Formats: sequence, structure tokens, C-alpha cells
Amino acid sequence: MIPAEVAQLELEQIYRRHGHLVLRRARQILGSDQEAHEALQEIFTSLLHRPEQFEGRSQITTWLYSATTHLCLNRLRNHSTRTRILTEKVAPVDASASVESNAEARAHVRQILSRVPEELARVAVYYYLDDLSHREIAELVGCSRRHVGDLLVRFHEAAREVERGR
Amino acid sequence: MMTAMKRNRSDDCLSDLILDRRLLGELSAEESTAAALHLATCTACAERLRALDAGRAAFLEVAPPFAALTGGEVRAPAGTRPSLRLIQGGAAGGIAAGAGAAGAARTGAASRGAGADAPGEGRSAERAFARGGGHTLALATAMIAALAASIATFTVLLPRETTGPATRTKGPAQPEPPARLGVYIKSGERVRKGETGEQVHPGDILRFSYSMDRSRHVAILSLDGARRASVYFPFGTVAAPLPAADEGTFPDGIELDGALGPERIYGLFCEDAIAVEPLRRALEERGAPPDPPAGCVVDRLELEKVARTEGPARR
Repeated sequence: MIPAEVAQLELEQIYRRHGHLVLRRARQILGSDQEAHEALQEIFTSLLHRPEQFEGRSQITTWLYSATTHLCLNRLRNHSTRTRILTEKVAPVDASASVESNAEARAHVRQILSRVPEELARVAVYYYLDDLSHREIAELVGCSRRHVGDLLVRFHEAAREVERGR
Repeated sequence: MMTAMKRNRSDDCLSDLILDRRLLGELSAEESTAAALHLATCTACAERLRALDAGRAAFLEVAPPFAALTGGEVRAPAGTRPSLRLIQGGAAGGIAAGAGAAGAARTGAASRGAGADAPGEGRSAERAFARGGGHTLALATAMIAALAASIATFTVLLPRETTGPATRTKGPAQPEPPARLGVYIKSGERVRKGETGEQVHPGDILRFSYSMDRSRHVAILSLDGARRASVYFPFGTVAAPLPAADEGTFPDGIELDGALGPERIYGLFCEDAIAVEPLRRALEERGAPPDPPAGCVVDRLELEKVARTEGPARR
């Protein structure tokens, strides 16, 4: 646990050592540098004012992975963010032709992540964006490896339902 | 959708979490030994580790100070107030050689005209990629050959900040900026529209696009992971005028060289024809963009250049 009286000094050190991975992952999930910086600010400001959030039961890196994922998935659910995704223009030169675009695909992925239950979305983030193994995901979320597999199956099912527009 | 969600590395490879913890010295002795053994035989993971390490170093250079970060305002990272897209150009010699090659190529016959049908998918992206004053991929390749030695990394950041206080505050979404920089990426035969945070590879060809509400003088600069700054556009000494467009394209492409790591690309859209070399020099010396000249709107992109692998490569 980070004692409140030394929180700022230690937290600044944590920020300098670990901030890069928060920013990197936030960019991956949110797809926006500005939103990623806002997420970075939000996480460390929250830690500064409520250091008890980190209870020391895991390493700070692991905690930051979890906190970043949770915050970014919440931001994806934010109405204004969703609106941005839905109205985001990926300008094809010819509207009748398709543009192979990773940007479009990632925007679609973020739509999915914003609309499936968070329990499923975070496992998908860890598995597909961070390349974590089932064992690592199980340790991160506090469940069994079998349950991680079940969650991924359920994520795929939920994603298909979202795509079908249900 | 599922094709868009796939793992970047095989199940046998190391996750970003392991690699991050390794960089931070948080692995146990057993974990560290296992990771070292894997890294000794897996090029993909070794390259990913280098990329993460480069990102960590870059963060230390440009991250907002902690006090400012937690003081209620979000400040743009140091040197990012101009949203610059930096295209690595490098030494003046390289630029001059590139200009010479471009001149020679422009007088030559085009082997592939702009707008020609391109096979495979992404036809619109192909046309956008190939469009531009009759220049062809052959021209781009000639330019690339001259510039390749000076192209290090390519960074594409999305913040679209204008000149003035480099401060962003939470609240309603910011109004659309008057000028934006975009990029198309040609990798092999595939062309796609790029976005910040995306991975690119040595040999990929970048073709930039822009949107502007009115005519401005434009320049594109880059800063690579080795802190080498380059001017991607224009080939002259001052920012070049471009017309207003919803989806304009720059005339030439840039081939990425073998240097890996984060690449920052900055686009300047200015009222006047500003000199670009002082900006390039300042960018390289500081490792971060200088304050943009008055009257300039800046947009930036950040890409991550990684080695091209076909599954986990083994040494």
C-alpha cells in the first residue's frame, strides 16, 4: 500500500517508470492519443487522491494493466466517445469501393468492446491486444484458466450478437 | 470483426505484460530465466521488447510533468504542442539527393499512371495512394532510394492541437481542427489507411494525405526512435502551398528504412512559407518539436515500426 504521506513522491516515481505502459495501452484500446493522455491523467490523479486503491496485493504493473483496461473500457462506453466512433469518417476516394483499413476495423472492434459486458471485454483486451496467455489473464482477473476460456467463448458470442444488431 | 481481433504473436511467445515487467525488473528469477531463453530464440519477441523499451524512453522525454498531469489540466507532452507529423528525411544531403532523384524521375515515363486499376483489395486506398500529379510508385521508389538512409522512425500522433497554450482540458469534445494529416500505408501489395499507434514495417511505403479548410503552406517533419529528424515534405527549403481539400494527397511516398521503434510525424499547416530546416534542426536537437511558428496549425501521428515477421521467427 502506498502511504498517503509519501504518496506523491512515490507516485511520481511510479508515473515515470510505468506511465509509458499506461499510455501505450490506452492508445491501443481507445485509438486516440488525446483520449489516451486523458486516461493517463485520470489514472494517476485518481491514485494520487486515493492511493488506497492499490492494496499491494499485486505488482503495480499488473494493477496498472487492470486499471487502464477498466478505465478505457468505461471511456469506450461513454456516449460521446461512441458517437465519435460511429461518426468517424474513413474517407474512401470512391464511396462505392471498399478501403481496406485497419482504422475501420479497429473502430469496429472498439464498438464491440463498448457494447459487450465489461467482464468479457477486458478478457478480449488482454487476449487480443496484450497477447496474454490464459494463465496470465486468469492471474490478472482472479479466476481459473478454464473460466478465461469460457469468457472468451462468451465474448465471441456477444460480439456476434452486437454485429447482428440485437 | 473477428478477423480484426487476432493475436499479434503466437501462444508460445511472451506477452506485453511479461516484457513490460522484464523492462522494469519485476520478474522473478525463474520468470527472468525463462524469458531470457525465449528472447534468445525469438526474433519477434526480441523486436517487441526493443519497441517497448523505445516507447518507455520516448515517454520519459515527452510526458507531461507529474505535477502538471495531476493538477487538474491535461498538458500536451513536451514538444508535442505542434501536432507534428514527422517524416524522417534526415541529412540535407539525403534531401538534396532525393530532390535530384525526384527531378530525374519526373521527367521519365511513368510505369504506372495515377488512378490505374490496382489488383486486389483496397482499391480506393490504392487510388488515393497512387494519386498525385502524375507521380508514380516508380517515382516514389526513386525518392525512397535517395532518402532511405535518413528515414529512421515514423511517429504518428493523433492530437490535433493548434498554436497557443498547449493545454487540453476535459469536457466536451474539441472542435474539428482546420487542418489534419493522414496517412496511407502500402505494405507489400496491400494498401490501408493508417492511424496512430499502428505498427508499420521497414519497406512499407507511406503516402500522406491532408484535409484543410483553405489553402496553407505545408511541411511534414519526422523524428525517429534514434532521435533523427527529417523533412518529408517539401523538398524545398520552405513550407509549400497546398490547396484546400477534404482528402488531398501529397505528391510522393516515403519508404521506411530498417530502424525500429516509435516514429513521430508532424504536419505543419501555416499561413506563411516558413523555413523548415530550423524546425528540423530544433526537433533533432531537442528530441521534441519546438513551439510552432505563429500562424501554424499542427497535427501529428505516431507509428511504431517493428520488424516484419511471418509468425514467431526463430534465430
